[in-house]
Amino acid sequence: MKPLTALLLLACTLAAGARAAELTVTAKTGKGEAVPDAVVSLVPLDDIQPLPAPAAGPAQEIVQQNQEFSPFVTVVQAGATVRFPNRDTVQHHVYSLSKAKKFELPLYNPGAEESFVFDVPGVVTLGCNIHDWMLAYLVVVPTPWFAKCDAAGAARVTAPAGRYRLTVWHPRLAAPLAEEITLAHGAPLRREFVLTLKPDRRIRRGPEGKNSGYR
Amino acid sequence: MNLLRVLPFLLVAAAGSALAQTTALPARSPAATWLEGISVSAAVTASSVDNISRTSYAPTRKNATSYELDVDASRHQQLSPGWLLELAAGAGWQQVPDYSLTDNLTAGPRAALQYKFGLGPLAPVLQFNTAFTYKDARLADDRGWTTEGGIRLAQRLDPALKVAVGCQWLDHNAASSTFDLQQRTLSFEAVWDITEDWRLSGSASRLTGRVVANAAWAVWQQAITGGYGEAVYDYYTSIPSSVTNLYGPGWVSYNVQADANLWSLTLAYAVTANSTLELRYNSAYVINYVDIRYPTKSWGLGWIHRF
Repeated sequence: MKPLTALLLLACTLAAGARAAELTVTAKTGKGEAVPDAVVSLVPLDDIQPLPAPAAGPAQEIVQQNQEFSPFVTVVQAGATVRFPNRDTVQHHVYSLSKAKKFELPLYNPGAEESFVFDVPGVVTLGCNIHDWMLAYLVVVPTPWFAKCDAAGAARVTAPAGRYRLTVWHPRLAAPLAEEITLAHGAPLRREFVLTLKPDRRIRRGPEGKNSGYR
Repeated sequence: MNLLRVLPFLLVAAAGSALAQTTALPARSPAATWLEGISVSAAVTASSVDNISRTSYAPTRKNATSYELDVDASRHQQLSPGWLLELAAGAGWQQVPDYSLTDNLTAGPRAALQYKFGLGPLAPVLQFNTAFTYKDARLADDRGWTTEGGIRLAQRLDPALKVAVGCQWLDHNAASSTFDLQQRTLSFEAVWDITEDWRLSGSASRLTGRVVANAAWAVWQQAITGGYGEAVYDYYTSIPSSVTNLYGPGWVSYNVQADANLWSLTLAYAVTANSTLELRYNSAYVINYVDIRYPTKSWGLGWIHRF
């Protein structure tokens, strides 16, 4: 989570009269390898009304560059705006067939930029209809308390003390992992998840060979 | 054939020049943006070929190592949400040190128009392609233009498995009718991405049309004097042929109507995101109009790099 976002959330939390508590999640495989890009979210089980709105400030962006999306996984709160700048040298045709948001950006030229509001929680799988190997995930969560695991497989979330449903999502998990936790002020909570990941079935990008046939 | 000697250097220089253009242009003028969209790739292949001479009589068959260098520049332009146009130009150089008369250079433009039925990697893709290629062979008789056209329907069954069927037409109009080709090929291909790095692909094709075969003079003499029977005599004395010395003094090249079963199997390893090493096996079993057979097979090791 960005520092500004964290500060805003903290301000909202204090305004609501609650005290912040900290959760650190680590995600690793059965072999102990760190799992980056796992999304951690906390949905309050206690009544917190109203939930803080998506953080103000620059919209998140998912860039097309070098015929890839970047970042591979993005997480936003429902209601947030996400920009899709084409910073490549070639056209793209960005699309999503996901229930959470169906859209497409055909004839998407270098330098073009469109943005969408994502207001339905869920996973939005992004692809490019020209470059089949291009793949990215936008995870829309119904809560302002979320984070994405870094390269070391660690994510830290600061939220008001209380009970939450902690959910861990990763593109290679068969189903998200969820459990109930209680956060308490002054008692940072650490949770470690061992993820059983499916094989990475991304479409291969390597150059194609040439078969000149028989002449 | 001084051109053939300097060709590899020209090809590499052309690729380098194209690459330099795509990387050194100032940002974002329309022309620069168009050029930046050009994708350049090169492939180098060394192959060990059994019966490179396409000879029917086994004791006289010639085996050799063949080297190929191909450079290709292409650009994709999306015409509408479903239609994609690819414009490309390519050049290839083939050298067979043991039989240098077969060395040749090919170059020319090609285009492909493809329609994708829907969105996503699993949507079927129908492609129409055409190519015009000039062949500058060391042997003057084989020089000329090749025209190709084809239709191909590809379908990815899952992220790791893709199949395709296609039909291809080829017409080579050579300086000598001995080297004229008119072929049509039906093919089936399958590509299996075993892992992120390893790919196995195969194809099976049926070719029908005119192909060039070769015979040592002693064998050819037997054929055209009736030594292999009346059918061979009648046919071999009616087809274009010429003494070309391609595979030795007195060797004859001749042009036959034939059917061929073609098979290929390729194991590829992605060394980096832009480089692939390939081990390829090719097999061709050609049967001509009078049931004379020319089996050929080859093992090749190739390196393909996308700049």
